[in-house]
Amino acid sequence: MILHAGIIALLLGALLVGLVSLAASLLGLRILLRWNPQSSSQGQLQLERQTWLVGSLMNLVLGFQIFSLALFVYTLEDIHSLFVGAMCATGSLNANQIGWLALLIKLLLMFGAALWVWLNRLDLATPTTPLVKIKYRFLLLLTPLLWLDFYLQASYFSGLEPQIITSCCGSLFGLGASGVASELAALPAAPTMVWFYAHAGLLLLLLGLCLWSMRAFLRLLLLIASAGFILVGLVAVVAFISPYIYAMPNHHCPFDMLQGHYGYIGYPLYLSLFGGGLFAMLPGLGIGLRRYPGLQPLLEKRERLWLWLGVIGVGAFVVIASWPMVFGRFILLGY
Amino acid sequence: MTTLLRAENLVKIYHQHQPDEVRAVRDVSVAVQSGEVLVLRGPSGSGKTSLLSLLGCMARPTSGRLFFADQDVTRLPEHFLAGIRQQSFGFIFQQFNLVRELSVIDNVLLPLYPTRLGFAEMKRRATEILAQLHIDQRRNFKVAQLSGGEQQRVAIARALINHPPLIIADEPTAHLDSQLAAQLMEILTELHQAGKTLIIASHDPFVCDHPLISRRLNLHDGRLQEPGA
Repeated sequence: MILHAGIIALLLGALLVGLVSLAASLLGLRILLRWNPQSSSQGQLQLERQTWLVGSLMNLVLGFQIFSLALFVYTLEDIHSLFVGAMCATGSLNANQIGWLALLIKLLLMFGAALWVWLNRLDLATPTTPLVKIKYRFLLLLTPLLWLDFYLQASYFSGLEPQIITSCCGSLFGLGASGVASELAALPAAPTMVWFYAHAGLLLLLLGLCLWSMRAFLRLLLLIASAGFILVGLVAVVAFISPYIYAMPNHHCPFDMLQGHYGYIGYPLYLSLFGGGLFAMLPGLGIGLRRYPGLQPLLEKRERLWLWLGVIGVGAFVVIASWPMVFGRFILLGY
Repeated sequence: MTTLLRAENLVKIYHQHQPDEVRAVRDVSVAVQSGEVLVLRGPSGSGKTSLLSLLGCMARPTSGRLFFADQDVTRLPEHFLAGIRQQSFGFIFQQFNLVRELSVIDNVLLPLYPTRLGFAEMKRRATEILAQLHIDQRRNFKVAQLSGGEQQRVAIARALINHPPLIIADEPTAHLDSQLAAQLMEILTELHQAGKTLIIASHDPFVCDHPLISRRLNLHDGRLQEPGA
């Protein structure tokens, strides 16, 4: 195994996340079987104390899980120079068969972890703790995925050999290649731009409408639109945002922009896309929770913050994506 | 005076529906006014500590209701109760419950860690309160190195560090000689003069008959008896 600080941190972190989530799942099982807020028994008080402690620990470890996606990608960028043929994280991911699967699981877990932290914060802020069983059921689903994440990372990093000859973004996101990545890269720029900006406009309009109106169907539309925007945003990054950032018409790699010579612009770009999209989804997800006692006023109180964070995130993504188009000399549509 | 704490028909049963079931508190109703000094007296095993635990939100009643500052706290989850205890209650325990391996000042600082106070302000407060209780010269001593009376004053300093409006003391003179007990009552008198509300559980006549006490409640087999003079 390559002894890189990022790899060691990721593996130890994933192991810690797995162990804490396993302990929390065991508590979750006890809660699902014995939780009774009406009881005055010592056992119930103990469960309440434990769920507070475990909830706080899970906030920390799942916070690490969210951050670990960025650390994973940063590490892949940092170690790519060890592999023949690799020019960026794409080359590192291609170095064995597990890399892309590990990235996909990390991406899924980033959203899962964020949603658990969100549920936990809502639950602990409500005197009736109405979500305690829901959040532990959700945790029971997350825990195997967290262990899968550890397993995949361990398998991926232990399978990396410096003598491996790998292929890089040019072959994966190139127009001559086959597969989803190259098909995304081959999307015609002008219609994709129209599609992207129309979707961003619709999403910002819905965010504004939700700030103004309390209607549930607007929030459900917002949920669908924001989930769709994350996908559209990723497609747009490959199809036309990356060529503008690199000022090269055939360079569609979504990872090169995470490197220092592009000013690490990829980090704020993805942070605003995922962060903005996630916050914009929360009011819609909250609709399903309104029926629980005591949650409605809390949701209404916090929703404005989520909506504004959604506006800031989506707005920042559009601005960062548009900056090189507006202020750069490169014009993709001319090619 | 306003009602700070109100209990309605409090019942506490340990090991309910089990062979070793204990009915520690039975149908107790009491209202504690702000600024009052209330003594719960009764023989050992009469339910004083159980009732104090209920009134101090450290245990949950089996039935009945408890209001603190007009808020129903009976069924609040434990982490909400922890917040109320941390902000509003100061506890002086019979066994002091100090962390013996920590220094005096570190024990006193403990309740302040969950607050958002800066460390400099935390230390300033702790030093000030230790000076008030004449124990500041021992601030860096380990608790295990202190006498019983000194440990009692550290426990009081810890109870007061958050400026709680209500102080709950369980048998505060149980481990003190008569001189130290008199010193303790002087400290409690000063707290009362500073506007604190005090609930004291004791069967020590020196405490129960002290002029500081404004109301006495007798507890027997978990029930309140006719109030004394």
